[in-house]
Amino acid sequence: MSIMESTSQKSAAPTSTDEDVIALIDQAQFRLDPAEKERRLCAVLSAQVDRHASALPAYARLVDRLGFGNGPRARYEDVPFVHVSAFKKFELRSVPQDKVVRVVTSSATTSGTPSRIHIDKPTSFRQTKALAATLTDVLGKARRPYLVLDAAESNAASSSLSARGAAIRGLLPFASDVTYALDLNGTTLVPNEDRMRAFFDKNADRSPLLFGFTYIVWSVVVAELGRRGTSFGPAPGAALLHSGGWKKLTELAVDKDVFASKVGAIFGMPASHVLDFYGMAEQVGVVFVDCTAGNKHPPDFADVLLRDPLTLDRVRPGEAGLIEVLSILPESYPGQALLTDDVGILVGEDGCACGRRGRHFRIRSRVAQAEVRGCGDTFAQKRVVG
Amino acid sequence: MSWIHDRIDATGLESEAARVEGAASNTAARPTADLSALFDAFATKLATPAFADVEGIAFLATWLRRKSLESTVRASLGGREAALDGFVADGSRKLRAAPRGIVAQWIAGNIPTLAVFSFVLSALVKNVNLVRVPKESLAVVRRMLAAFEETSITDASGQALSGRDILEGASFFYFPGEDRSLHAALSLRADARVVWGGQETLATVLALPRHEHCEDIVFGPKFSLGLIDTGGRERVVGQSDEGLAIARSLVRDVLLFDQAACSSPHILYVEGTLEDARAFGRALAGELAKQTKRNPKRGIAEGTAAAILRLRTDYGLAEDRDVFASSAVDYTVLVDADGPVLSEGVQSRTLFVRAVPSLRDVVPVVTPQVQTIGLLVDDAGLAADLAERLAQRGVSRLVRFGLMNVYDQPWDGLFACDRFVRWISWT
Repeated sequence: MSIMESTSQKSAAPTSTDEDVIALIDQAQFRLDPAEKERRLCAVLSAQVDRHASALPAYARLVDRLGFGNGPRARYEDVPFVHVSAFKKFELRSVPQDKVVRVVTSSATTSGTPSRIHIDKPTSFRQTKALAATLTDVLGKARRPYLVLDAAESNAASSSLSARGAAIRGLLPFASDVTYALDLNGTTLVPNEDRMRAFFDKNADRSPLLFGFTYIVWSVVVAELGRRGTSFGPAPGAALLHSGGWKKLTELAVDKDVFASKVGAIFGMPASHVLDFYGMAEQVGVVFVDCTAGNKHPPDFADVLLRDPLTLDRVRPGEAGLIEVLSILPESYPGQALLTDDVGILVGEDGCACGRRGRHFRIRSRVAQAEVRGCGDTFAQKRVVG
Repeated sequence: MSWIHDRIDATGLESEAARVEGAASNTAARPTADLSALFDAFATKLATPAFADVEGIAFLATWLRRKSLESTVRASLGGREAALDGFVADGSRKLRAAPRGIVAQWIAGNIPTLAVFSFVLSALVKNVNLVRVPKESLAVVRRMLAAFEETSITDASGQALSGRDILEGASFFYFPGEDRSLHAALSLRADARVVWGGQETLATVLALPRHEHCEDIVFGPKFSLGLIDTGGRERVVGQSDEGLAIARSLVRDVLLFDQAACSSPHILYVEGTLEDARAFGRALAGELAKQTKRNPKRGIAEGTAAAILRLRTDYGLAEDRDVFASSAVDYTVLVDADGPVLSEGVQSRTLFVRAVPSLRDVVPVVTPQVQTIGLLVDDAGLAADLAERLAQRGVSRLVRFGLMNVYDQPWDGLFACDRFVRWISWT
């Protein structure tokens, strides 16, 4: 099998939906009626799907073989979905190589193989605007001192960018100045306590913004500073955003409350200011940050579809389903509907206590792996996963 | 009296073992024909709408019929089934097949009916049984035992025989897998140990202390596949009545036990090109759609669904592959020309249809872990050659499609009832 099939050199045509996309990014977020939102998004998604299918033979095959048909795609369920793992195996690029300005790679913590997502200029522009639009709703517009709980090397200038780097960069529009809290000693991340103390001495009362990857915050920052008994602040106006790596923390039996409490204690901030967000390298620009009610909300240019694992129908409030993230941002790759291995619980279709409109959900876990048991174990001495 | 215990402890196990052991002599004295008749009556109770929701119940109910049980015992004991009830002449000597005594059983969780199936195999040749049931099968087993308890017949002498009488010599229970002391206690009560399970279970049980005389009967991790030659493929693709019947049989093999049995097919090697495999896969998908309509899936594990959806995407995108699938996660046919390689079985009505230039190419990848091979090979010479070579490679069964899950003798390379008895010669 040709794993890396080259894309057709036919570039995606200039988008007729650009204005719609930008309008949905630029408007005040989280105020759309859910039905109206689905109608508007589906109109854009349909056009984008057709464009990707004409530019990328592999995607056209998938649309055809899995029976998604030619539309119209009036419901989220009708939008052809790609399992997110495909970006580890296929070069899914809908634009010519020379239009790619950056390749985002995932952290590859689970499979060991990173996803590679090809970003062109329009997509990059949308992602930056989109992230800012979402986070403005959470953080406000004022720029704040920014402490990155990572090493500067994670955001090194390059044509490729890790998911960590992309997330760090995504918050730069909210930063008045940037400080990296960790050093990279060989391959080991080490907290630089002096630099962190200097940051808090200067900025504790300026509502600093902190960001780190969840697993790094826990395994490097909390573990090392906790061992030393170090703490900073108080910084009551500080906020820490973190994402990624929950799978490992679940294995360590660390839940969100414990995480927030320990982090809050070290940085002298309320635990309620420690905000988990859900996002993925395959859809940079789309993040779901915890609201004050503890739920996650899709911004206006994206949505989630929680699918029943058997019927693939959307689940009802209170039910769990496979998380599919829909987004109108990607122009250079077919990321309009990405099915994940994560399971979420749909809290409601509208009416969250925090005041945001639309569907709101919580992350439950990764999918429970089917327990292979019994005499029907499909064990093979020469095992090849097809 | 409860024959099943959701969570047994050391005291409970000891008490149950003593009860069961106390019933051994009564159990050994029952005529085999009465036992077959009783299980036949039990089958009638299981073949009712009350059990329609139980995966594999139709198969169990059919297997429990008197003729089926008698055939199983006959094949297993080499035609000497009368030796179960007394000494029988065997040339210049006499032979007797006596029960081993207490059979301790570790049941796998992939088939909800397996506990009852395995119990009957042992009880039919008059053993008493201590059966560790997987937690997820407890509810189903409890329902079936309740039906068995109420089953009764009148034997040849006019005496009543009920399931309750047989259950005096049986105990079903669960305890956590990590409770090594209970595993050891169960093992040490056994005159024979039966293990159905994956590698981890096997390693755990086989490492337990046991009596020197204890016999081990192991049904280990296996998987199954199919071989289709050019003639067979053309018959199915041609959609003749006969071809459709073959497709129906093959799909029945897939649907039964939701592909979780060791005898369930996961990969079908099709002689020919990718296009040939595609045509065969399309024909199978059509039949899967029909049978799924009649026999819809009841549920799916999240992890299995995710694995299937990953594969659908991979096969949907790839130039040199194809996929035929339902809109929901009811069935999936994945077509490729990856050649003679194995793929991890996904279960839940998911089939790999894999083109190979020659079926003989598949022989080297077959190991003793391949249990059953479904054969659709029209070329008799090729079939004979494959059968011989596959036997050398370690396969256990070669059957036509439609029979893959039919429990017959031998199974996993052994005659099960034969292993449940001790043979005594009297010269």
